Amino acid sequence: MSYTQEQISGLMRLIGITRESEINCNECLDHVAEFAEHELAGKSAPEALVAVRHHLSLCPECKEEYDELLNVMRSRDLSA
Amino acid sequence: MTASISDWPSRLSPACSEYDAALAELRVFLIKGLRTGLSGRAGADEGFIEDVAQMALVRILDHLPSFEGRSAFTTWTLAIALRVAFIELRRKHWKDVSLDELRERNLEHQEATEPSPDPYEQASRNSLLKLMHQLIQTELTPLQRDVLLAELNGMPQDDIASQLGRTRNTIYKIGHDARRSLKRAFEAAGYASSDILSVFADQP
Repeated sequence: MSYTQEQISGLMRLIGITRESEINCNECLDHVAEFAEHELAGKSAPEALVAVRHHLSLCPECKEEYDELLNVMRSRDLSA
Repeated sequence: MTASISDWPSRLSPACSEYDAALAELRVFLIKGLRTGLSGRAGADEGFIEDVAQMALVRILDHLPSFEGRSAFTTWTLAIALRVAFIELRRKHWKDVSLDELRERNLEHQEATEPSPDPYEQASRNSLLKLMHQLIQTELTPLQRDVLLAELNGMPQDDIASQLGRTRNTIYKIGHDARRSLKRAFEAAGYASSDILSVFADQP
């Protein structure tokens, strides 16, 4: 099995930011609503939510879901 | 609807007389949110959105006892609904791709190394790439290599999990263990995270 240059580069980036302890996708979902509200309010994330930010930098699926959550929350239509 | 939003958690208790009304209101709220969140996404038609809203309602009710009020209830429900929606969209997209196919694709698809204008940087990059290929073979288990390959090909963790008979959390842990093993091996070879990131900072 071999890997393309792009895949290896992507993996290098992930390894560079890998931590000994990380939260998983379900743990991210447990906290992402709170994290998104902090983000929209322009507040820095409290220590307990730093792990969420880190998970979002590693997990493209959770990041995609988070980006759309922000998009929906920003929508004025929803609060009507 | 707005006046009752803050009461949703208590109104969604089956014992509450307003249970059915609260459920219907939440369903409408989720559909509205999903329309915005999935706008322009292939396969996210009205029927899909209604199905997802229904699945999300079930999941929300299952997890209601774990809602701690650290965020607005509406934000919490939207996060769950979007998780459900994206799992379904990704499943549709990846339903015909197997891990075996990804293995074959990667054997066929070889790209030349992108040259760097800086010879020193190029040498550092080549050295790290060579070591990475070596460590993938020596430090990782076959399962870790499979998961890594699938992830690097963009296959969603839910789909990898489904094909391997595991859960998304287990797949994340396998991937994390693999990354951690590689990181430790790099460190043992004298490369810190900052070295790795600096060499590959401008890579795609």
